Amino acid sequence: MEKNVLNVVDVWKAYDELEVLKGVSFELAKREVKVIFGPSGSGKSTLLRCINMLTPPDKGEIYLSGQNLIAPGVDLNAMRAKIGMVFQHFNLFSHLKAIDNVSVGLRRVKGFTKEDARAKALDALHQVKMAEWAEHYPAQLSGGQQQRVGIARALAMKPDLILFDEPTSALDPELIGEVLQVMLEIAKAGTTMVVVTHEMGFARAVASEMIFLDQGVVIERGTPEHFFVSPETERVKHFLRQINILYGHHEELLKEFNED
Amino acid sequence: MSNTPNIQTIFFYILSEGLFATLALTALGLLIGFAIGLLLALMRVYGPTEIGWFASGYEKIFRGIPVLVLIFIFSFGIPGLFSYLEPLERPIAGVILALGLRSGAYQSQIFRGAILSVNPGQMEAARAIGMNGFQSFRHIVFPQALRLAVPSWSNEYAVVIKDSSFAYGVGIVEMTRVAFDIAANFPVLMPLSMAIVAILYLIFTYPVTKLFGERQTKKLKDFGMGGG
Amino acid sequence: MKREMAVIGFVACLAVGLGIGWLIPGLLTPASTPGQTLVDEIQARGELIVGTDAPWPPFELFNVTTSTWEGFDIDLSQMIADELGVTLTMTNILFDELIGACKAGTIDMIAAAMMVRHSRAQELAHSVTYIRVNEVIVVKGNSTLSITSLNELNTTVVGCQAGTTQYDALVAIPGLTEGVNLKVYPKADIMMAELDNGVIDAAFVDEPVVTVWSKTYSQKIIFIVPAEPMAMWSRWEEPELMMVINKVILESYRDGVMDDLYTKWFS
Repeated sequence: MEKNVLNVVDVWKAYDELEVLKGVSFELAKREVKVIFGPSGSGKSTLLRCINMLTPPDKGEIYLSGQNLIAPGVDLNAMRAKIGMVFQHFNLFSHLKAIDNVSVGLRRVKGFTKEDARAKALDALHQVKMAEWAEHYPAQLSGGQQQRVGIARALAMKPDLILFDEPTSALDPELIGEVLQVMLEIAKAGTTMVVVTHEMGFARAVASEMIFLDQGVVIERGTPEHFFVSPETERVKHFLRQINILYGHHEELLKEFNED
Repeated sequence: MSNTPNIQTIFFYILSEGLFATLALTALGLLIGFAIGLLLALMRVYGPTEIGWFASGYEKIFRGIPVLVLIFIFSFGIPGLFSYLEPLERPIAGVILALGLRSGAYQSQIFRGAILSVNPGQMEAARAIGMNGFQSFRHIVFPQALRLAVPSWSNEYAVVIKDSSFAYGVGIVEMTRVAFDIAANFPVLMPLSMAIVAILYLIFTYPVTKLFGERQTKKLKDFGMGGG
Repeated sequence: MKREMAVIGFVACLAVGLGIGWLIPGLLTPASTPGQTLVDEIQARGELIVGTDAPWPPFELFNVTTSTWEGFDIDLSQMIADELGVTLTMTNILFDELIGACKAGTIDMIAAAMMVRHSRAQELAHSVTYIRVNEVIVVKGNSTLSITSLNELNTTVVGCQAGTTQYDALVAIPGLTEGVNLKVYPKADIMMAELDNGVIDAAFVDEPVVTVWSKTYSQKIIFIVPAEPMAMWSRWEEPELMMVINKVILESYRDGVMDDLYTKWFS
């Protein structure tokens, strides 16, 4: 248990009558990148929100570095500070500049001084190559730029792991590349990540394990090679065929990246 | 002012004798309304259902009673109210209380709408960073809600400053009372006096609502704020 | 979130509790210390607060040119204030609310040409009467209207001021319906203007009012109703103040001061 950053154990979640998650489990070790994929409505977003307890599961447990998040009396806010999240629709704080978006968590949650927080925030923006846009407001940035700031916001908190909820699904095609680029870089740098995405190219490049989720149940799991060479179930094959177009899209980017 | 005053004289007389009271009543009424309105909005948006009913009930009561009636109730209607004030200060307190209680009911709607307009993703992101509910509200939701509330709020300001004119009936010398006094002294000038005080109220309402109304809404849209 | 709400709820309850706890003692403790009369309080305060409803010339009017109060009631109130050895503060409150204001303690007494009526006497004590003013039907100077009794007014459009004995008399006339052919005004100034404009055919007012307004508009009286006398009013629980008021009024009658006032304001 201890060596795992995250242990999701038999998580169930229902909204009114509809059961969205039916007994999902997986483990996440340090520096691992786990990609969760599947058709829409399969519960992927719900799963992420169960992990950081934004919507606590009905049954099951979530262990963060050995600490059970479901247990009563847990300081959830402190726990969430150790789990970063990047959202499909960015969710940047519209009234704050990019630099303040990144630093507000450092100031208000971690208690750094204004100057300290600002310095650390600038570092994070450097990492995502958005440092020159520090004084801009989200409305003045493109989607790709906003998402990169969102990643910086998560990075700055130095979390144990970062959850990505379809980070590129809301982006125009030409902007997806820059965000994937950043994600590839931080994955290579050792960030522990759980990524919900359709970007198979990304998965093939850095995922240590892929999990196919359909209607709240884990259908199949394995390494990327397993999925792309010899997937087992019909469901998975069908799904992979459907997103084949996307998969081929970022070949060049991957080639470049693997050559570095 | 001797014999029959001209337009300028009336204009400046109304301003010098009545403007302070009008603005003071308006400001204090809005302030009390702000405190009450924000509290009620919080109760309705974040509180348990029962508390929400209380807030909703308050709104229904104070949106349903005419301001003039409220003013009379709180100036003379409740025996012993404000008895610790000087006698002539009591109607002033009564008017401010009436204006504030009524404005609170309307501002509650304004803030509730504004808070709910803030994209829920904002709250999600704030909680995901580790901010507790109070911090999320104070640093993320509230600043945006305030900006979103400005157009409606400028409208509420206009309403309260007009309602302050009812204070003329309880012995407070504000702009409307002064206008009536002038008309009392020079009966032939009554229409002129009324017209001038009407213009004065316009001067204090129109630019504000124009400036903070549509212009602000457009600015907010450019900023990408709101829009559920 | 629950914990934060509990904190807010606690603070809110505290605020409400403080409000009530502060308000209730305010409600329960009498404004003056026991044993102290209103007169003592007035003298401690240094001012007599008199409620009236201006304009109602020649009884009360706030002169904007001199920023002073003028009128029959004002002069009498000043005499009462002098007797008490304090300054006079007039305050302008809508006629209908004067009784409520006096009962609430916002004003010490009423001097507003208020006629003695049984219903009013139930609420407040009144002084000896200081003036008796006929009520008259006034029309525009060139009007051909003539009546032999008030009941004939139901063939005209007639106006009066709200809360007055004239109003009470008019609503009792069959065929006169408020809003249809009976128009009620908060102020005499608007009423006189509309009489002149022809919006109303006649107005039912105190005679002295015509004396004043006929200087501005061409008017004539076509009917006279001798009316109840007028008095000053104050709270039943404060006989000391009423004694002072009565003393001033009676002494004015005795010393001829009252005659001078009549001449000054009504000729």
